[in-house]
Amino acid sequence: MQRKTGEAQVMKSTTVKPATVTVLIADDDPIVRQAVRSVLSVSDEFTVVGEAEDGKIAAELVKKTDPDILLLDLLMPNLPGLEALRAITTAGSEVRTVLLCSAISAKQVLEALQLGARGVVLKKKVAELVPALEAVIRGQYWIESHSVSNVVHVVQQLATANSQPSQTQNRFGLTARETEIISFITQGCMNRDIASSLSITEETVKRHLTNIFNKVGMSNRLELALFAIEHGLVRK
Amino acid sequence: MVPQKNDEVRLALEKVWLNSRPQALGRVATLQRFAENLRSGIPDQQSRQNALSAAHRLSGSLGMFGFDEASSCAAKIEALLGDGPMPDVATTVALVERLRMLLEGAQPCSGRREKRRS
Repeated sequence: MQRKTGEAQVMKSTTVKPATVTVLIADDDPIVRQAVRSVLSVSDEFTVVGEAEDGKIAAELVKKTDPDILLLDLLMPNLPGLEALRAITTAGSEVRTVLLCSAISAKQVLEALQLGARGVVLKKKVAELVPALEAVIRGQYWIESHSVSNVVHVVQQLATANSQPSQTQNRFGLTARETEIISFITQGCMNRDIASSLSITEETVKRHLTNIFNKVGMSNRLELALFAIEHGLVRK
Repeated sequence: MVPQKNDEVRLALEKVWLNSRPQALGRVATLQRFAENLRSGIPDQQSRQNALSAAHRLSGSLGMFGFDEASSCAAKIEALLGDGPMPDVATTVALVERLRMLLEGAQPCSGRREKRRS
């Protein structure tokens, strides 16, 4: 179906089948949008509720259509993908965003995860779109063609590719023990594992974590792991 | 995904490519016009901007249909046309010509079927 450019496309709600996953496609290229629509049409699970040709329209349409999934291109006019994602996250939307891009660096994947993205699908692997979206709907992440339950492990792997030599933990006033605990967090360890490895109680681990969260301004383990990797807090 | 679904996806993408091919070739024509301007020594910022947009869209969309080499070629052109001075004439002309040849008669959904001519 050829679509007129220059405007947001919202499908009438009467076309939405019950119990399907609603999807909004945001990409500046109509060919890409058409290809995505065709791939999704192979499955009965998905209903495309709108199309956006730039990041600004995508953010507006998320508000308007409240889709389950947002497929978001990285490089778009007006508002680039990651900025659009930031705007959507800040607005408190619960949409699950999957980046659909030609290429993406480990740093961009980290940033996207930090902003709440649930997956990344490369355009050349568009055939994986259905399993990727199914995984995301199940509450998992989809990174590098795989469904992932523990995103912290992915973050750790990405960190290896994106590692920074500088050790800046002192800038945040972290103690040696706190830095040690951060290293365990980035490896996806639970409190009891950390406690066992360091021969301390789980309560002590929790206390250390509270202090760490306060010092670096993060509020959960994933945020902390991402922050630690980005700022070179992870021990070699 | 089950094999049958894979076949359905492949067929769906083939249909999209058949419909989109003229548009994709139009984008290549935009690149050819820019390359011609560059060769004639009269490139302007607007034609460069149009070419950049065409290369960006080609690099993204061609990969979806299995044209990996053509997509990579378009990505190289996009990189050349990004910020900085006007790109090298010979490199640009060669890449655009390569892209045109790769897409001419290309069949969808398998990079192996990209028509290779040197």
